[in-house]
Amino acid sequence: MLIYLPIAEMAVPADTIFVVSAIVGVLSGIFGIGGGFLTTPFLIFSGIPPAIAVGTQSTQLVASSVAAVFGHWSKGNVDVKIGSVMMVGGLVGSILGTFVFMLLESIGQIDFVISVLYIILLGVIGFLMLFETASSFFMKKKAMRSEFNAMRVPTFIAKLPYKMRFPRSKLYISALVPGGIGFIGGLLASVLGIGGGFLLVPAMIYILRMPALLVAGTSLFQMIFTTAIATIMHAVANNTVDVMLALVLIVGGVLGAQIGVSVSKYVRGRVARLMMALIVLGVCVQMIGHLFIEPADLFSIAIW
Amino acid sequence: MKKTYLAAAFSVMLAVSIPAFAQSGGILTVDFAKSHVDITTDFGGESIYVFGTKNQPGDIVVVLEGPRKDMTVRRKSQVLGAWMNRQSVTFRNMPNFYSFAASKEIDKIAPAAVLEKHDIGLENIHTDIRNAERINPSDKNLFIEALLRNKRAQNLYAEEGAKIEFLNKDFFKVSFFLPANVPVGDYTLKSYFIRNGQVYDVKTNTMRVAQVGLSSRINGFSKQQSFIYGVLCVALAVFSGWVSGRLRRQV
Repeated sequence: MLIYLPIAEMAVPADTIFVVSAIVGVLSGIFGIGGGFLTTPFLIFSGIPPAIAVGTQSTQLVASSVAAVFGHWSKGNVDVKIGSVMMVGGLVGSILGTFVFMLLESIGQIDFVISVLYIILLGVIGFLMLFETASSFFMKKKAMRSEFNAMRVPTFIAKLPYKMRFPRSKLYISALVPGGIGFIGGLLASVLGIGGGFLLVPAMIYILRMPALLVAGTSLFQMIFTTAIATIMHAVANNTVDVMLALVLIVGGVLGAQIGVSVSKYVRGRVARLMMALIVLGVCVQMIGHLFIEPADLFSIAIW
Repeated sequence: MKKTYLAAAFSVMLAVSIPAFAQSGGILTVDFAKSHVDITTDFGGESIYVFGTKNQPGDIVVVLEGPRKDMTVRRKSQVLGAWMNRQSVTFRNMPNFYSFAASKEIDKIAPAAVLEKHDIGLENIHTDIRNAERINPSDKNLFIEALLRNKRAQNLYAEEGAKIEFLNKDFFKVSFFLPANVPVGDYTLKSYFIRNGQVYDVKTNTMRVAQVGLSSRINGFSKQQSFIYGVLCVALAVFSGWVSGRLRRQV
């Protein structure tokens, strides 16, 4: 069923997009991920211009992050203070990211850069997840945790200025660290159309050393604002947020997430994380293929 | 009396002997059946019809051109194994849509020089390349071919899509098909009357392809009030997320 998108000024198969968005939603409900890294490449590969895909997917990520943050918020598992510092970084990152995106588009390199960034991110995160899951099968969890706590905070982080107290996370750390993490998250959200959760969560655990309980909720809190800023920036700077496409993605994603959340009780943690790692690596391999295999037509056109 | 007859006879002779080009107002009459294409949410393409008459024997070529835009064609080459865009050629003022129909094959209607002068036929369109001096002539043809190939693949340069049908000796009907991805804007129809390889009459009509109704209001709003539009999209997303989150808690 073709729907003509008012902003993109093209017709797209709304039924296919809805189904894919719902499937990604199910995965997001089960694994607690945003799913942007799955949906955005899919939209681009379906022929939707990258600018529209990234701008509109950011809108959908706002919806899925808001929906997901509820559970954590009600349990009080959100460190608003540190989340806010990250948000400030995210704001700057999102704005800069939008300009970077526009620049890359004008020189015709946006597809290439998006592919490379996805490959790097998904590859690194995918392997880390795989490693973590595989090793948890073999090592005793207790041993890993204590070994981990014994690692000191790298000295250069401890020496950074602008230290602040974050009582909820029981941290006394330079504001530049969460700010910097938020900045990178915002940059990537604007350029890649992802929420960044799969980056924020490890960064918060390993770099900030936040208590595990607060990580999921706080990262979602930060993601809501980062993706919202990315949406507004893309709308204002590029006029590439298509509300009709966003509606299809949101409804699909939200319905899928409902199903995913109800199903998630039946999926065991370790198995779930392994599957997630494999999905991430699968998308990474697909993007590598797309980049290194000779395309059918070496020529492409852009219209001004 | 004799003088009047003589004058009349002389004028008729004069009129008939002057090449038909001098009476260029009179040979062709052409118009669209409908001069606007309205795009709504369920737009999947549309056929448009043109009707016309000619009052002399000769050939007809009807060309429909979409808005003119600058187009950059980029070629990928391998860098360390990865394919990325390297070389690019920008063509100025190319039609975003092009289709034509003719009463016979165009190379049998007029010589190449005439076709090129009027941009009749895809291979004959004038190309205005930015920084043309920097580009290899052999590359230039490759890029032009790539442009045509790309647009043909999107059905936006469609030579086969248009048909001309003569309802009687002088009355013709042309149909063009506009695909779902047709660009919005003002389209120009140029109808040529050609005899003995020369153009004796040209008629120009315009048509507008635009979104209407809700789609067009949304589009306009997103351009004029882009910030508020962005905020409203975010608000829509937040609301949807809120509803979903609340529902989830009750599950």
